[in-house]
Amino acid sequence: MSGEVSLSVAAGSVRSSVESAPAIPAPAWAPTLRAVARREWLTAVRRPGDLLWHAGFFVMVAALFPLSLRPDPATLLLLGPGVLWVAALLAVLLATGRLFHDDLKSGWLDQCVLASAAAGVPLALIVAARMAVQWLLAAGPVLAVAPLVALQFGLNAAALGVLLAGLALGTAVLVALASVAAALAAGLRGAALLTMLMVLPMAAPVMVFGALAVHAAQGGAPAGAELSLLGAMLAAAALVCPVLGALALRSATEA
Amino acid sequence: MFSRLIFYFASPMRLHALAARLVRPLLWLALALALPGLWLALVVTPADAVQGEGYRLLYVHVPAAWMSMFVYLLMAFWSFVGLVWHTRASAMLAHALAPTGAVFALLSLITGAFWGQPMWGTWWVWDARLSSSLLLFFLYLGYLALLRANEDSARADRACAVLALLGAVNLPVIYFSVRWWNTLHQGASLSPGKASMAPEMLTALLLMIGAAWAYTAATAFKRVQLIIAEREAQARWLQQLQDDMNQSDDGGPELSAADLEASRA
Repeated sequence: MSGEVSLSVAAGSVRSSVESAPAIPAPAWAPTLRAVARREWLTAVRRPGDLLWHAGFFVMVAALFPLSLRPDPATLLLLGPGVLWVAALLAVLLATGRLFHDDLKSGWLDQCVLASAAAGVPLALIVAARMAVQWLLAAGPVLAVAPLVALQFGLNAAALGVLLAGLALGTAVLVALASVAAALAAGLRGAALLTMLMVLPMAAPVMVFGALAVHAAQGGAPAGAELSLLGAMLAAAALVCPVLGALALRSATEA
Repeated sequence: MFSRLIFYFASPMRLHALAARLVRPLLWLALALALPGLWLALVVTPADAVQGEGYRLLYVHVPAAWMSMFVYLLMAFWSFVGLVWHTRASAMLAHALAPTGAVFALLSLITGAFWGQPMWGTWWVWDARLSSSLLLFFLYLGYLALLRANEDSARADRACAVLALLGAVNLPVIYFSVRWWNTLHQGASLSPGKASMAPEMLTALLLMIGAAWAYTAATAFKRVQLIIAEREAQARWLQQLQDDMNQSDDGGPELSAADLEASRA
């Protein structure tokens, strides 16, 4: 609640400052973006159970694989990278699937569109701020427990480092893609499932390169190429996804 | 020139008229190309030296695989046009193309599996081509699911356009990533080793490809006609047109409730 208030307050103050100096609206972006990020952060911190649940889901999915397959070390070593990536992917998608659904229902998105118009902040920037916070909240817990799960699958130290770096980059791409899909599905029947259906084919490249990097590190080979590709994907996603997400949100609020 | 054509047919009324004129000829064209194509493919051309009779699936498989990719690019193009210039007719065209593209993607997967069983001894390999075709099929499914889930047509247009563009950006990435992934994991990928084709085989293949093009255009135009009929039901020109059609008893394409249901699918 306080987040919504602070957003509108920020938008109001921004509007007055824009009226006094219409030539340079750029510095006025900061308070709006800070308000958006603060609201997300506060709502997440007030319900820490959700954050724990993301991490718990990741551990549970990863733990199901050794139980359902042969649990000898060689098999686990072979399957480890793929399993870890699939589990991380599912955890992040589950967290991001309903990202804009409740916001649309509660009217926060309409506020957001109005505030962006009033303050001269592009909606894409607000969406980008939202994605950044969502990445911290959804991928942070997963990254935090990843060493624990990697231990179960017998990953060595070098592979663990590459896994963490790859997950950090890859989950950011996934969050960006899933946010666009969530914006497209906001307010529709079965929004979370629809988001999954849209994102899974697009998530394939991230998963492929992420798992490849860990495989390479396991075998003692350098994983720089795969990590660079993940970084390139992140750069492209950071450019394209906020714009597409803003487009989707605009049509969702107009409807 | 080209952009003027696009904007001329951006009006649903003109697009409807164009579609009404083109559906029948295109269907006949598809038939006219497919019949000699099939005759050449199934009767005239000899069995392949290596692959025997099974290779004949190629005449269906290759056009289907090509069309599944081409239709997605076309959808992305019309989505882009619709997003940039807010032309409703281009969004309708994209919606109309999607089911045909999905059908071709599924057809290429199924024929590929039937071909792979005798040739490779397996129904499915996680090969580069196969995996990216499967992902393309999933992209189509996502598009159609999003289209179905939206009740508001303006929002459906924009949402589907965004998804089509996102998929188009991802399509090359999917293709190349899956290729790199598999070349590392699986050794040499299996490919139908066709260095050169006999001229009648090539003719048959080209005829089948032409038939697939004509069929795609015909179904897309028919579907866009139905979508316009559904969305512009309140427009006077459409009601006028339907009245004329019902009075003149020439068996023109009459719009029934079943047709409207089909267009929604």
